[in-house]
This record gives sequence, structure tokens and C-alpha cells, in this order.
Amino acid sequence: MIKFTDATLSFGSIKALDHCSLEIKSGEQVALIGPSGSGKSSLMKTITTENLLSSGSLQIDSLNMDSVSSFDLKSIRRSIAYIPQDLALVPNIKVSQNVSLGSVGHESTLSTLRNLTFPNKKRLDKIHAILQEVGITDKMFHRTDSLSGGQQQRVAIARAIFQNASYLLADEPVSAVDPTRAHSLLESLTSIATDHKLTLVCTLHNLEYAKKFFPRLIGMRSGALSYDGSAQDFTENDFNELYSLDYSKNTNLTS
Amino acid sequence: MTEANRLNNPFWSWRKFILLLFLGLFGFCFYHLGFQFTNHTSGSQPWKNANDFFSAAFNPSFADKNPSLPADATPFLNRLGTYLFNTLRYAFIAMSMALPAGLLLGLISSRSWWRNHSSRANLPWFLKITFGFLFLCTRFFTTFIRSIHELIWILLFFSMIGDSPIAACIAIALPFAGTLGKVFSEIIDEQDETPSDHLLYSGAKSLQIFLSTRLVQALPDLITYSFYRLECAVRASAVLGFAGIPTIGLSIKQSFQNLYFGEVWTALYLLIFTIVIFDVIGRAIRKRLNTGPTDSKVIEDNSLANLKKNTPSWKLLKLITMSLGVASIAAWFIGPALNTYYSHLTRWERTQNFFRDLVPAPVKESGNYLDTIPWAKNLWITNGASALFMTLIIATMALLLAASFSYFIVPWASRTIATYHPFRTPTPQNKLSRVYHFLWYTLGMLTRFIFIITRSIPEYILAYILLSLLGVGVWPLVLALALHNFGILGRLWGEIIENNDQITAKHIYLNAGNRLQSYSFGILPASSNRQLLYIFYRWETCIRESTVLGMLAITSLGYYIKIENSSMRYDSMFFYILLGTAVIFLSDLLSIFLRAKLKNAR
Repeated sequence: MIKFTDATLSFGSIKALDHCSLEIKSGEQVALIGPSGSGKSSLMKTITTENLLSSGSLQIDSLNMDSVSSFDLKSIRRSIAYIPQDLALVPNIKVSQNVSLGSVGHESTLSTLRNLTFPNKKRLDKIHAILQEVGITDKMFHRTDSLSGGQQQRVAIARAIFQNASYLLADEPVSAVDPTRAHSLLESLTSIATDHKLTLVCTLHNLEYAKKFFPRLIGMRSGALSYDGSAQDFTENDFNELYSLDYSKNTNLTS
Repeated sequence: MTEANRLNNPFWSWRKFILLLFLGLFGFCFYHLGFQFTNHTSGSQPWKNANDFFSAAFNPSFADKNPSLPADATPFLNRLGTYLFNTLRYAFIAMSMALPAGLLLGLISSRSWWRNHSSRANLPWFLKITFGFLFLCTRFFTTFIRSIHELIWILLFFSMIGDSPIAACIAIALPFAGTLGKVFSEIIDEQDETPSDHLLYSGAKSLQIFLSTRLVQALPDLITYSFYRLECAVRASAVLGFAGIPTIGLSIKQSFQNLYFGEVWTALYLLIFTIVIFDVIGRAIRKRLNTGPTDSKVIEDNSLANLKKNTPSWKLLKLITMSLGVASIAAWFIGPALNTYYSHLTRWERTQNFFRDLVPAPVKESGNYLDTIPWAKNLWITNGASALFMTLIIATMALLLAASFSYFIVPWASRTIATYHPFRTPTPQNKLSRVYHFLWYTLGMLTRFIFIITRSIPEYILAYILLSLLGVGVWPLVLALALHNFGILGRLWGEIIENNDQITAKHIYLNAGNRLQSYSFGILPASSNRQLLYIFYRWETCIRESTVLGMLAITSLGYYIKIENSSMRYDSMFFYILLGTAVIFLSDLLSIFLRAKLKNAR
């Protein structure tokens, strides 16, 4: 469970999150929507513990992020698999090695080195199975930067699955692929989340996809929540409120 | 200058400032070096010598020219072969020591190794201070061993432990470990941070992150640079011949002294050929490491075993890596003994004597360390200051000359410009196109050939030859240093041009611009800062080089270091060495400052 209570995140005078309160239950699949600069990525990065709240609180499972020990911080980080927009893959190693890096938080330094250089059969079998799930088994032993953008996106998903986490966070996973591929990618993401019983939080620019693949939508505007409800109930009014150009509200456009 | 000032002064920019600085320095150096380019003693036949030397280029010797050699003497080509073998052997031995040391120094002197990941942020203050202190110590140590040239390390080691090949190898390995350490740390720090950040937020430890992302990302560049250093080690090992070690430099020196110019050219051709082979292999490795092996073959059976069997790999890379590894180990064991020693003193006695003699003479007499100050002051006033000034002037003038010529010639060596299809644009085929194709191809090849030849011959050997042809003076040293750096800058800048994004240049060319316009307005604006960065990087190397070139009888720092060494006045020799080291430290700091400025300059 992820629970924000009156959460505010400021960078100088800019408020990236403005008194947000929301709860995402275990196993839920949620799409974060809203215009550029509305605070979607900031919210994501707060969940990944990359940002610390300026005020308010964030609770992940039973742990409150204000008073978390460094031991518990590690365990939270292990339980959150994140697919960043820029994928953050190591370009010059094999696909299998990049996927293998997913479990780095569960291992000692020596085992990481061993798993990168001489992985055992059991590990390779597991990676092979995951790559089959995302549909790029044939590239398993290819160098990652020799793959296309869409294929690399699948490697990042495979790495996230290999992390064996309970939360899967994806930042704009379909921003760089054509509509057909976007469709199949979101289909696999949501079905993987269902199969592995993962909580899925995904930021999306395309409202059509958000409504089609996710039962719950969270709309953000200027750091604040503007919509939180089911995809079916999202009306044209909600859309107008979320996306209409209001220069006085949007800090990024006025600055 | 503030943003507002810049807006008020549209004609002010860093680039214009640098250009003015270059012109000013050019005039200043010319004023101090004078216009006497040659210095021939009366009665000598300088132009005949030069004529003999250059005409011998077309007539290299394959047998001994010396008629008085005994019948059982080793034939010239066999001797040259042995010298070449030694050159390569000592280079491999030196690199097999320098590489592990350089890697260790590079790791612990990189900022990302000591970076405060959030897991480190909770450390107690005394550990933070200790880490900071260790970081500075490794940086200082790396700069120190790098700031002393291998020929000066040789003088120190020969005086300390006697002249043996292993001492010469260590003398190369020390500054090379420093250079490798410095460049390795820069390469590691330059890597993209996103993968390491990602691992941090998935619960990994700092060391895990460093080893599995940063180091792995840096690996292709680390390997490429190590291979380039191996090429430099071969050159350095060749120059060892001038210190009496039996490498190819010794052959060049002996043949030149006996005026057997044909023999000199044979040795030079052999050296150039060797360096070119290293250069070609190095370029192939770089190309493959940057892209990795690709395989477009479609595999039907996606089972793990079959995928493993079909892993794309580049067999030549494996072969080269294995051969280099075997060669580095074999170099230690194949060939004559490395650790030879002939002296009536034991090594330990010799080392003790050496360190005793490092103490300044007046201090040895009085026992008062304060006497160092007037002693050092005296050395500074009599020779130190002027020698240091001359060292700086030679280095700066050489670099300015090299940069000016290289700047205009480098586009014509680029594979994307000096070709019939610039920037990979299609060009119509007609009767004349074959001729044009051939002409452009020849121009590109010829320019690249000039660059590779000038950088293959070590500056020390170039200076030795030019001094003999032009007479003892400062200009031959400047020219030698300039020629070598012309070749190096040509290569470095050429790489920048080829790695630069070609889209704008191609766009200009397709809009009916010519090659020069496409280069000047499509590539130069984006790459000029990087080109300047390389000049500052070379400046520091030039100062090191101009110090040792003084050993060839010009009154720069090297001259006094050699004189004091041969008079066994190790205290004053060490003073001059430290003077050179101090300048390298200062130029290092200046170069860091200017590089930081240039990175953000417009």
C-alpha cells in the first residue's frame, strides 16, 4: 500500500507536489495523467525514494518514510521496481546482464560480480523465461545498445520483473513507440502486473490508453490532484479541467 | 563576466579571448626565441649533411656500412631485429606494471569512487574527513609520478640502483601509471549517471553500483586508452636507447654518430612501421568496442543452449586480448636477464649513498636544514629561473605552431570530408567522377599519412636529428616538439570531427554549400571547445617533453638535470627536477580551471 497524506514537495519556490493526499492499494493498477510539468514524475520519484517530501507524509506498506531506518529504506527500495523514462540501462553489456542487474539489491557485491561474469544455469533459465514473457528472447546475448528503442524498453521491463518487487512503477513507458507497439507494450505491462500480483503505477500522456488499460486514473495539475476516480467516470469536464491552458496556475509556462 | 555584461558586449566571447591570447603568446615566444633558426659552426658543411641525410631516405641500408667491423660481428639486420625485440619487450614489461597500478590509481582517484551516495551520507564526520584526505593524497601521488618524465626517472633509477633493463622498465612504468590513473579517473567520472542512480534506488550498495555500472560503462574507453598507452610505451622504450639501453634508439644514435644515414633510415622505417601496426589495431579495437559485435542472423530455435551458441562475438578481439596477455607474461621471461648489475658497491649501499646525496650540500656540512633556503635561492637565481622560463617558452611555441598547422590541415584528413561523397551524400557518377574519387581519396590518405608519420617518431629522436642538421640552438627543439604534436593533434582532432554529429554539416552540403563551408559552420562551432581542451591537455605534456629535450644541450631544465647528474650532484639535480614538477602541478591546475571554463563557454 502507498499512502500520501497532505504531501508537499518544493524545489525552491516551485511546488512540484502541492498538498496531495491519495492511497494506492496493493495489487491496484493506476495511471497517472496530466499535462507536462504537472508533477507526475515528481510523485513517482517520491515513491522510489529519490525525492524526500518537504512536508506531509508518505507511507509505503507499514513504513513511514519520515522516520525510516537505513535498513528499512533498503528493503523499501528492493520492493519497488522502477522503469524510468530514459530506461537507465548500461549500454555496453549484454541484455541478459542488464536484466540480471535487477536483483542487485538482494545480493552481495561479490555475487553481483559473479552473476555478471559467470551466471549459473538456474539464473540464466529465469532470465530466459522473463525475456520470453516480454518477447525478446532472441536478443538475450546481444549487446544492449544494438537493440532498437522499443526492444530496450522491454529489457527495462524484464529487469524490473527480475527485481522480484511488489510495486512496478513506469514513467511514460510508451512515449517513444508507435501506436501498435504502444498497445502491445501496455497490454504486456498490465498482464505481467496481474500475473505477478504487482501494484502498477504508470504515468501516461495518452488519455485513450490510460482509459483503456487502467481501471483507476489519477489526474494531476500544477502539483495538485485534480481527478482521482475510475476510468469510466472520467468525463469531458474532467478532461477540460485537467488540460485547459491556465497560465496563472501552470508555473512552468509562466516562468 | 556576468550574463548582463555579455549581452551588452556582443563582440566579447571566450573564443575571441583565447584567439587573442594565442596571438599574444605567439609574439612573446618569438621575441624570446629569436630568429636564428640554424647555428652552424664555420667550416662545417651543414647543407651537405642535410642533403646526405635526406637522400639516404630513398636508400636505406640492409647491411653494415662500417667496413672495420670484425668478421664475426652480428649482421646489421639481426642486430636491428634484436633491438626491435627489446623495444617491444621493455614496452610490454613496463605496461604490465603500469596497467594494474594505473587502474588502481584511476579507481581511487576518481570522484565517483568517493561520491557521497546516500548510503555514505550517514557516515561520521571523521570518516568523511579521512576519505577526503585519502582522495587528495591519491590525486597528489598520481600527479607527482606523472609529472616526472621517464628519461628523468631513468636518471634517478640508474643513480639509485644501477643501470639494468628492469630499472629502465620501472622508469617507464611509473609516469605511465600516473597518466593512466589520471585519464582512467576522468573516463570513469565522465560516464552517464542514470544507470548507477537507478541501481541506487533499487537498493544496491555503493561498491556494487560502482563496479557493475560505472566501471562496466567505462570499460571500452579504458581498453582503448590502454592500447594507445602501449603504443606510447613502444615509443618511450625506443627512446631508452639514448640512455644506453639496447633498444632501437641506440641503433639510431650509433648509426647517426657514424654518419651511416642509410642505417638510420632503416631503423626509423622499422619503428614507424611498428607504430603504424599498433595504430591500425588500436583503431580497429576502438571501432568494435564502441558498437559491439552485431549479428542480424534470424534464429529459429530460441532455447537457452542455442542462443548461447549463437552469441554474437568478435573473434579478433578475443585473439588480440589473448595475444597481448601472453606477450606481457612472455616479455618477463623470454630474452636476456632483466636484472643485471655491475658495481663494486652493493645495491643497498648505492641506494643509501644516493639518498644521502639528495640532502643539500650546505645542510650536510652544517646539519641545519634552514641552510636549504639560501642554497635553493642561489640555484634559482643562477640557472633555475632562466632554465624554467626557456622550458616554458619552448613548450608553448611548439604547441602554438603545431596547433596552427594542424587546425587548417585536419579537415582534409577526415574520412567524412576528404572523400568524393562528403558526409555520405550521394554524388553523381560521370566520366570524371572516377578521377575525382581518386584525387579525394589520395588527398585524405596523404594527409593521414603525414599525421601518422610525424607522431610515430618520438620527439626526442626528431630533436636529436634536427639538432645535428640545423646546429645546436633552440629552434630544432621547438620544431621537433611541434612536428610530433602536429601529428598527435591531427589524430585527436580528426577523431572529434568524425565523432561529431554530421547532420548540420550534411544539411549545409545538401543546400549547395562546399566542404569548407559545411565544416566551418556545421562542425566547427560544436567541436571547437573540445579542440581547445585538447590543446591544454597537450600543453602539460609539452612542458614535460621540453624539459627532457634540454638534455640534448640546450639550457632548459633538462640540461641542468643532466649536468648535475653526471657530476653526481644529486641534491641540485633533485632541485631542478622538483622545479619541473612544480610547473606541471601548476599547469595541471590551470588546465583544470580553463577546461571547466571552456565547458560552459560560448
